[in-house]
Amino acid sequence: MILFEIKKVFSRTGSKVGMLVLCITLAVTGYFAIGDTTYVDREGNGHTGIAAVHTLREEKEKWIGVVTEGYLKEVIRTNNEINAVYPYDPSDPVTSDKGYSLSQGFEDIRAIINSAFGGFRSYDYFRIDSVTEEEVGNLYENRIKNVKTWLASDEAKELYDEAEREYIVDSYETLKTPFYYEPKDGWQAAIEYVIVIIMITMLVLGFFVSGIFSCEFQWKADSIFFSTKHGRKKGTLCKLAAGLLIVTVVYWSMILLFSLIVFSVYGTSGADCVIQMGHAGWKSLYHITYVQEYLLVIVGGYVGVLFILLLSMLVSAKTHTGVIAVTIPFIMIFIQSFLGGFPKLTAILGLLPDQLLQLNMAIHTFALYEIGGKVIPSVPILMTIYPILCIMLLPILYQVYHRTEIK
Amino acid sequence: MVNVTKCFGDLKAVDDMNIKITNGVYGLLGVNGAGKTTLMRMICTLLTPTSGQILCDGRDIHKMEGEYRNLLGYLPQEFGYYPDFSVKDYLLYIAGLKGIRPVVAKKRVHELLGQVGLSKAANKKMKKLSGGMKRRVGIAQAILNNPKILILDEPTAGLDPTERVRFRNLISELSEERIVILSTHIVSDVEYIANEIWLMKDGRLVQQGSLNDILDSMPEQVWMLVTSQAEASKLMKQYKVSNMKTDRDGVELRIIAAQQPAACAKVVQPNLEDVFLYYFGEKGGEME
Repeated sequence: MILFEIKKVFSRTGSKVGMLVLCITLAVTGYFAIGDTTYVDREGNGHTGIAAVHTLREEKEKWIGVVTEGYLKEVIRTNNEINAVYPYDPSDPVTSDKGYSLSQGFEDIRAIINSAFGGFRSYDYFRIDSVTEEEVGNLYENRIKNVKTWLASDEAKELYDEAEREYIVDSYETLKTPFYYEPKDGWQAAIEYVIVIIMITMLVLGFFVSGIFSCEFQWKADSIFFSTKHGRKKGTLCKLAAGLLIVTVVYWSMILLFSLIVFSVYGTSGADCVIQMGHAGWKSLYHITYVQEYLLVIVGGYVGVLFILLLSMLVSAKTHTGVIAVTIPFIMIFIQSFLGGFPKLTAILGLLPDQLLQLNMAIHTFALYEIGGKVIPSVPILMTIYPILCIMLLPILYQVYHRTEIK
Repeated sequence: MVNVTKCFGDLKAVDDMNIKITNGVYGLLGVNGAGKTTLMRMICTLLTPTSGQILCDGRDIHKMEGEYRNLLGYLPQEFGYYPDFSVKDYLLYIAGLKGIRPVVAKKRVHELLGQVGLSKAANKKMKKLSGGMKRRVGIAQAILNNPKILILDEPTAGLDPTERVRFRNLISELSEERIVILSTHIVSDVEYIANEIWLMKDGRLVQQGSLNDILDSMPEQVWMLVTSQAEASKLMKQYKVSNMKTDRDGVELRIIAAQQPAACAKVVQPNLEDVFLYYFGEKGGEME
C-alpha cells in the first residue's frame, strides 16, 4: 500500500516536473561549486574547472602541516619575498596576478592571519603584508584578545549578558591550538552550496508531499478511502510512511549525489581541519572540524526539511487541500525577511526551523540562549527541539487524518 | 438506527431516525437536501451522528471501527478515483485498503473485472475511461470484499439503458444474504429491485414499506384524461400533474387528486413516480 501511495505522488505531472527541477538544480549547483575555484597560472591568467581545482590543490598541498609559530613565520617570509618581486599595484593587474599566482598556495593561511591581526568586526585582505615575523606567532592569542576587546564594547554588552560573554571567551580559550592545515576547498564549497540543494529540495518536496493527504479530497476519493476496513488506520499510516520515505529518500539522494560531484573533483582533504582554519569559521564558538560541520549542516537540513514538510502534511490533512500546505516551505524560507525587522523577535527567530536549513550560519554566529542559568548555543538546541517536534507531529498528523469526517 | 440525528449548525440533515434493517434491498428516494447522502455517510462511518446510535448486531458501528467497515461496500454519489492509476492498480489498492491479501486480491480483481465487463480495460488508466466504465469500476470496488452491507448512492447514474438493466440484475444477484441500500433518482430502478422503499423528506422517513405498501399509502387517486391544450393548462395550475403527453388528439394528463378533476377523467393504477410527486409536491421535479 505504501508503494501505491508513492505511485499516487509520482504519477502526477507536477511531480515529474519537480524531479526535473531537482536534476537541473543538482547539475547547476554542482557546476557552480566546482567553477567557484579559480587557479591563477604563473603568467597571471585565471583558470576554472576541474583541472584548475586540481592544480590549486597541488599548490595548497605544499603548505600542509601544523600551523605553528615557525610555520606562520615561513608564510610571512614567503609573502614578503613575493611582494618584493611582484608588489601589489592596482594599476598593474598583471604583476599583481603574477604575485597572487605564487601566494595562492597559502591563501587560507593568509585569511586567518588577516583575521587575527585585523579588528574583530573588520577584515583587511592586505593586513598580512604589515604583519612581522616576530609578531605572527601571536595569531592564536590575538584571536582571543580580539574577541575580548569586542566583548568589552557597548555593542557587545547590549547583545550579550555577562554569562554569555564568559561563555564566548571560554570557547575561544579552550579551542585546541595550533591548528592543522590541509587544503579544504572541497568542504568549503560543499558547505556553501549544499544550502542551495537543501532549500530547493525542500521546496520541490513540498509539492510532492503536500498532496499525500489531501489528494483523496481533491480526487473525491475520500468517501471510499475512509469507509474501508484499513482506510483510517493502516491507510493513514501508509500515507505517513510514504511521506517520510519520499522526504528521506529524495533528500538524501540529492545530498549524496551533490557530495559525490563535489568530492570527486575536490577530494576530501581538509576533513579534519578545525573550521576556525577558514575565514568563515574563524569566529565560530564550535570546536568542530570541516567534516563535522558538513555532517551537522546536512543532518540539520534533514531535520528542518522533515519538520517543515510534516507541518505541510498536517496542514493538508486538516484543510483537505494542498494549496495552503504547499506554501508552508516558502513561508519558512522567507520568515526571517518578514520578521527580521523586529529586534524583540531576534531570539525567537534564531530558533525557527529555517535555521536548520542553513545551519552553517548558526555555527558561524554567536547565537546563544540561557536555559536554567546555563548558556547554550543555538545549534544543540535546534538539534534537540526539532527531532522531538518531528516525533510529536507524527501522532498528531495520524489523529487528524484518522478522525476525518466527510461532510 | 436508534434516534439518529445529524445537525450541521442549525440544520437538521437527519432528524431522529429509527429504522431496523435486515437483509434485502432498500430503495431510498427523496428530493435534493432530504438527507439521503448524510444518512448513507453515517451508515458508512464517514460522519458521526450528533445524537443517537447506529448499531450493528447490537454494537455501535463507530466503536467497531475496522471490524464494521470490513462488512461495508460503498459507492458514493461522486465516485472519485486516482486518474493515473490503471483500473487493475486502482482495484488492487482498494483491495489493500479493504484488507484483502494480495494473492486473493489479484484473483478477486480478475473475477470482478469480468463480472462488470472491464477485463479488456484492466490496464487502461482510470482517466481514459468513459463515464459508464468508471461507474462500473466503482461498482467493482464496492463489492471487492463481498460486503454484507452494500451502500450504493446513485449507482446507475451515467450508465446507458443496457448497462442499467445489467447493473440492476447484478444488484438483485448480490442482494441475497446481505443488506443493499440504494439511493437513486431513477425511480424505476427502485421499483424493480427494492424489497422496501424509503421516502425521505427533511431528514425524516415519511413513508416506508414494500412497493405495494407505498402505493397504497397514497390517500389520493391517480386520474388519467385527454383534453385540449387550454383545459390542460388550467388543470395543471389546479392539480399535481405527474405526467403530460401531447399528441394529435389533444393532451393526455396524469393527475393526482382526491376528487375527479374532470368528467372524462378515469382512475388508473398509481405508480412510484405518482407517489413520489404526491409526497414531495413541487420539489418532486428535483428528485434524485
